[in-house]
Amino acid sequence: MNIDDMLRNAANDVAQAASPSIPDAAGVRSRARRTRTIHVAGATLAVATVAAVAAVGIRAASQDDAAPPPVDVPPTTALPSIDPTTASNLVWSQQEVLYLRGSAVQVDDAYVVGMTQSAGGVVYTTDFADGDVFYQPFRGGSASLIGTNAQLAPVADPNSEVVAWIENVDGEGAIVVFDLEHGEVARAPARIAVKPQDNITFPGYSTVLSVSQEEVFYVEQGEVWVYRYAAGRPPESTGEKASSLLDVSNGVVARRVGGRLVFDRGGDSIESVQLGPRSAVTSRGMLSPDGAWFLGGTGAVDEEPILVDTRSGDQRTLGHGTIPRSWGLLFALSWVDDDTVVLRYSGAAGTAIDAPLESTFLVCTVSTGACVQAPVEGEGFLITTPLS
Amino acid sequence: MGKQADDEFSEFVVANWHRIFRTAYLLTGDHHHSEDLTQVAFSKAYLSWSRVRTLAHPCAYVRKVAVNETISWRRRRMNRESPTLDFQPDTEMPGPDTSVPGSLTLWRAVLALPARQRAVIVLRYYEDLSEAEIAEELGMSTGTVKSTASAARQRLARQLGPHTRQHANGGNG
Repeated sequence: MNIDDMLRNAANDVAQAASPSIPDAAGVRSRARRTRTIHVAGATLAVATVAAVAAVGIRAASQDDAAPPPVDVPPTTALPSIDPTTASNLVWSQQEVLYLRGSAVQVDDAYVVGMTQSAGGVVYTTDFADGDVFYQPFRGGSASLIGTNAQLAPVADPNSEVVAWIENVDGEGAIVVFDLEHGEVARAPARIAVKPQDNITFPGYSTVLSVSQEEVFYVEQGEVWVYRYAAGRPPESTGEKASSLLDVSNGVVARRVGGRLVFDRGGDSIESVQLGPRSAVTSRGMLSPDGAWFLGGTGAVDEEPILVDTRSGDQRTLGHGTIPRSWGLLFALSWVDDDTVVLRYSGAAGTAIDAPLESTFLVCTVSTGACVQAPVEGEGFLITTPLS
Repeated sequence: MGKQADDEFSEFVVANWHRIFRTAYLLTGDHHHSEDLTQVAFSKAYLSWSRVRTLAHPCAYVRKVAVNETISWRRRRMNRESPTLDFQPDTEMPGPDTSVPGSLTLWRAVLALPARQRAVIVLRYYEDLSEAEIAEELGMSTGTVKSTASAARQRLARQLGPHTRQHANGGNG
């Protein structure tokens, strides 16, 4: 008997000897609806693999840069410092721990890798390739499983309880709109972004640009589509390339036209001043929830992120002179609310390839320009909210 | 979900529960965990039932969830616990050729394989899937399935002695 026959026989023998339980459809339904238990716990302190890989990418990217190698300077305390584990205006994750405005909840055996913030809580996915989507209310309690097969990170409307993601079931894609209070409200076919088996919610990355209670903007094969689900209309292409249409929020459309940013609001068009040679929107950038501001950045620490007033086109940089120059923005521009942005910088603590990551958040109030920093020693963070 | 779809889902569960449970049992060797896996896999199908029901093989979807859950489960608990068959020692099932390991002994060795190798073995020898089908189910290339199966057979042969070793390279799986 060869090993193939032996294995075949053994599999059948063992399978037949097993005593299956009684089919329990009611239990299955109950489980599907049941909330997922999570436990309040302290933070864990191991190095996050995904963050480490991303950091290697940043280092590699910096090596590609034609500019002279940056000279590291240690972080200073020039900015007021806060404790990120207790900061009441921060929502972020580190490995299996989710920090919700000062409280910490541990996610069972999973790293939180895709987060987005609704009015009432956080929607997130984990590092498992199953695309499960969970909702954790700010008010506390347990997280709920609200969906499966999300291919990339979900994106929520910070002003309501609506969230959207691209779903992939065996290569069949769909744009899904989910109301956190009332369940799924709409879905429509959509072409998936990457190959079928990759249901990997990559940190901070999503092809959904924005969602509101009326419509969803998302990228499909390099083109921006809009799904006006509240009006019962099917998805339709906007005819614009994703490389030029950067974001849509509260009726404001942000575009990159040549070396400028252009903001359209109800027929009025405002241009920003000429951007720098590296076009400070290498990342897509994000409009504030109210559409009043646009935040963008290259990811390189020597080019400060820009903040553009979409009504006037005036722009300014967000100061971060205290960050080591070899560090980078790591999937981490996000709006906490209409007046607060969070930037997360990460970098290696030393020059060795396996040097541990260190990170710091900058939390900036747009109206005053004031920032505080929330440093964490010897650790690389995962994402805050998706950088669409 | 409407009553008709709900009833349809219940019928689907009843018709396929044992099959999925047995696959889960071969993957885990643990009755309790197999039941848990089976329930998780069907519950995910329930959440997506409006689409799963339209697939050509809805049961394959559930199996895929179970297999990938098993791999995730193993990864989550890596270095914390190892799967073992929860049979009693006197339940060995000798094969027709008494010079080769019995099924129970052989399957204990299978359970000691890395999760992906084990999944390939179960899908190949119990579910009777082709390499291409296994590749699709596990999200890997056909070449990776071949090399994974080969590595699994080699490892089993090393564990189980000379009789299996001489056949380890000759498998078709």
